[in-house]
Amino acid sequence: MSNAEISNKFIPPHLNAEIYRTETSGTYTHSYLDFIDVHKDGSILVGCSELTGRYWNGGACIFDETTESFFRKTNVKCDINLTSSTADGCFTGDCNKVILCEDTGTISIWSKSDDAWKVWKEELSVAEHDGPALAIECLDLDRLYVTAGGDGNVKVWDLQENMICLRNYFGAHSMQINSIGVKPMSQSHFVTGSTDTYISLWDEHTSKPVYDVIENDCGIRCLQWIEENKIIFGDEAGVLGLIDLRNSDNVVKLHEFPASVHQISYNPESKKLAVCCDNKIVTVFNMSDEAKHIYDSKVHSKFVRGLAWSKTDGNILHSVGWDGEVKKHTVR
Amino acid sequence: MSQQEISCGLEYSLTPDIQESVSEAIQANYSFIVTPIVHPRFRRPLLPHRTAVGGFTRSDMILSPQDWTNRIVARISPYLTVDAKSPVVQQRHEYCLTEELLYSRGLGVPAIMISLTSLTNTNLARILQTYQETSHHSVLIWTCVPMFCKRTLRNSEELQDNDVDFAYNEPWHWWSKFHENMNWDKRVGVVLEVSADLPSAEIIKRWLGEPVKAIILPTHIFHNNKNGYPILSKAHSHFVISMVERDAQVIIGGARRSNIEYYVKYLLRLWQRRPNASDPMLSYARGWEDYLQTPLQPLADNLDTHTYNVFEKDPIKYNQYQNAIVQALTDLQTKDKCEKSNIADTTKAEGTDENAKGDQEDKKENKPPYTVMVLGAGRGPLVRATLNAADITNTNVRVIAVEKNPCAVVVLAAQVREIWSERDVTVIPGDMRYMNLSPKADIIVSELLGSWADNELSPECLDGAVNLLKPNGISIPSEYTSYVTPICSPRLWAAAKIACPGDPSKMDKNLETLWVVYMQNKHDIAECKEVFKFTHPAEGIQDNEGETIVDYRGLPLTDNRRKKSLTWQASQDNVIHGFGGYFDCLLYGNEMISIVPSTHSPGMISWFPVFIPIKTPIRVKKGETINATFWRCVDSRRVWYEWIVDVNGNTTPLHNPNGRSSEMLL
Repeated sequence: MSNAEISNKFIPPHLNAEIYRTETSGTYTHSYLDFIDVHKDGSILVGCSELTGRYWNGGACIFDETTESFFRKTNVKCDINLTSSTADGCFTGDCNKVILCEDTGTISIWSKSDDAWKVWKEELSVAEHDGPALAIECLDLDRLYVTAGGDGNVKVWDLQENMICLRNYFGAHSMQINSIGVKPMSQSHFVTGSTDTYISLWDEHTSKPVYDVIENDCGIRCLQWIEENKIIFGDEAGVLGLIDLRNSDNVVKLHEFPASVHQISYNPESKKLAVCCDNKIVTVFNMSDEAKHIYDSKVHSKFVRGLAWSKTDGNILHSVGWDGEVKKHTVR
Repeated sequence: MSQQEISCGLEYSLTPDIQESVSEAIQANYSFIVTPIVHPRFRRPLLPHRTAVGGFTRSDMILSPQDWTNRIVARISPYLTVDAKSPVVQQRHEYCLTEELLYSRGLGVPAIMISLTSLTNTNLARILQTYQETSHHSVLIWTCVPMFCKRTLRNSEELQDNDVDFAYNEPWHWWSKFHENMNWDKRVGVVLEVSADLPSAEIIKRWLGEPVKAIILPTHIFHNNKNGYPILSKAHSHFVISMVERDAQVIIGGARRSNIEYYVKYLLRLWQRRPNASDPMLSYARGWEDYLQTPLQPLADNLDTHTYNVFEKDPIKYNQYQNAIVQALTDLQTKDKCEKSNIADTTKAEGTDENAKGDQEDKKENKPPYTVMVLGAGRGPLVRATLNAADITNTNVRVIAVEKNPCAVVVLAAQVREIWSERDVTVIPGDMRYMNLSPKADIIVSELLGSWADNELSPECLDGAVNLLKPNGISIPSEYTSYVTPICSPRLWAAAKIACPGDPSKMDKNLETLWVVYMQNKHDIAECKEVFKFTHPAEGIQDNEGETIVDYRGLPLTDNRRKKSLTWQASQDNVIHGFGGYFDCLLYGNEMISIVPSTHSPGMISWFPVFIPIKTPIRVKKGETINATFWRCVDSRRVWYEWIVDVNGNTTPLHNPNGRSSEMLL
């Protein structure tokens, strides 16, 4: 090859950095799956993000439970593309409409078009969180949704009124809020858990916190209100705890994991509690049997992030992880 | 040193496309962005001595090195709590924190932002100190605290307390304690997240004394004006201006509630229209804010012509001197007239008409001139003031300019030859303390004051020159007093401590020395109080028989040693780092000059105050008493100050014993 040919064909080594900087071909994968939600009709919503690449954006995939096994990291084509990574999201009452939380603080509503193309389109978005939106829960199906974020604020939205913010609990926590737990059968009461170590109780009808449930010795990562008076939480230290609201001074330590507890998912029918931590293991406890450790799975090759029980079969658990995989577990 | 322009940054809770974010911010006229450098949700299994497989964040090659070093403030992941009560969490988070810190160092970002959320930050302070110790170039640490702690308020709601000041107080304690843990390091500053409501003026003032590197203005504290543009309340805009005057940058944070350009435009306009942009002192002092200088010693060292040039430019000081000389000449005239009319009374028989006529005449012609001596005439501004005063009062003066600096004598002599040849001006080179001239002066005029009144040895010089003054003659100035205010100023304290880098033996001395500084970044803990007072001509000391003692020249022997104990009550929790030192001076009659903040002569620029540090800053609780004692010590060849401070049993060592660290030579 002549010198001219070489200089046309190859990038001079000393321009290595400049070439990288101006690279725009935009080949990126959203290989970090962060959450999963299961609709009662069997639809599955999976949120994915890029957390270490050039662009920290993300998206969501919506597919049917029956096609789950086809889902592979390599063939992921997002139904929804987001300009930012996403930490949480959920179906509305309609499996063709989802709400997604973005790490820039935006909450966006997406729905599938009714036409032949069946594409997902953004209906609207609201950017009112001053930090990343980290968690969303439903208070009243198709109407009230609660979100919480890195700004320490909790907001209650009315979906029917184009996501008007009905309540803004400004400074609900002094650090980021990682999780929201709605009281079963309630449309107004919920708890929030934060890195500031508090779990606080809220009533959507009042502007002030009802009270602080507990002050932990480290940040609260996840929680779920499982029964009238019972809340389960997981914390930074790896402790899985059970709070009885009638006696919240006595927190029962159910288990201690070797890593921080990231997510829990309780199935009220089968009374099984699935847990994942900052590690590759999915663990299930049977809460009707003194929180007996009944299942362990190491099918994920990176951190497990999201857990969801099937609505049709109480023994089926779905999990997603940063390995880009959606896994199905049968827990008996 | 203070900027003339406002510098704005834009905070991103996440930068999905960091190239895009940087260019968006620059295009909107922001100078920098605040962003996480590791995705704030990217948890990683980090163990000691084991590096994670693969990259834990995006490649830094995405930005140019210039962008990293000029445009990026790195925000540490907000979930990291190295001071959690749980020891296992402390340990795990320490690894991640260290990883992010080291990565920031590798990127070469100018500052790292980290949030404080409670009073306990000892582990964080330890990790950061290690980090600073091992850094070759200095990285600034911006410690972010909210202005208001809602948690504090909530935890004490049962108290039914309507006073919410304590919830504004709390974050100051977090910061102050943390800064103390960081040994008041100069590279550690605070970033204040401004709340929708502002605290009491007192708490704001205390923040003004802290090294606030930046203030975060969340977009929710702006409201829209009638044209839909975001603006701040009056109180907030005042606060922003006073912060920017003290060097703080402004960061816009939170949800994008309006076009990000509008915020910068508004802030730029706010800064341009700030009220005291044209204050002469401020424009004169620009660039000298919080810049420490060693006090001049004009007695021991001769000033250079440039220094004279600077000090002569003061429009107010010399005018006051001129007024004082006018007053003194007028009083002398009145006195003489009284004496004369007494004589006239006895010779009344000779006819009143003639007498009245003669009176008018000899006012200028026949009467002997008043002798005015300018002691330490420098390049002659006070000679000029004296000549002007003589013209104003229509009196005849003989001016004798005494000056010890040979260079200044040259200038004086030239003016006498070329400009004042018609006037009666004589230049006498030499030290006023060792002179014997006759006739004696009716008035001696001098400007020998330092920033702390007597600290350039005016008392010693004027006592030595009393020989030149007629009995009952007038000294201008006739009285001066030094003042102190206890102050909180981590910035000044840290600056004083390291004022002579590379010489650790100096470190101790630096905190036993007075520093001349235009203090900006400080907070007055309590009111200004009098310290030492001197009057001239001074009274001699008396022996046991009640007789005035005289020295070998027959001059009264004076005692210029002083001791003064002062007490103050702290009105809020604080830390005392030293004192602000000021003076005021009665020139003559009613003519004053002052650099005491409450009575500062408007427009007078000749003196910056002094900062008198203490070796170890002391924490003061609201209501506690601060006791301080100052001594002015004298021996045969020098003068020095000593001081000691006590708060509730916490006592500093005695500062500068026997003048070991600082002294003024006679």
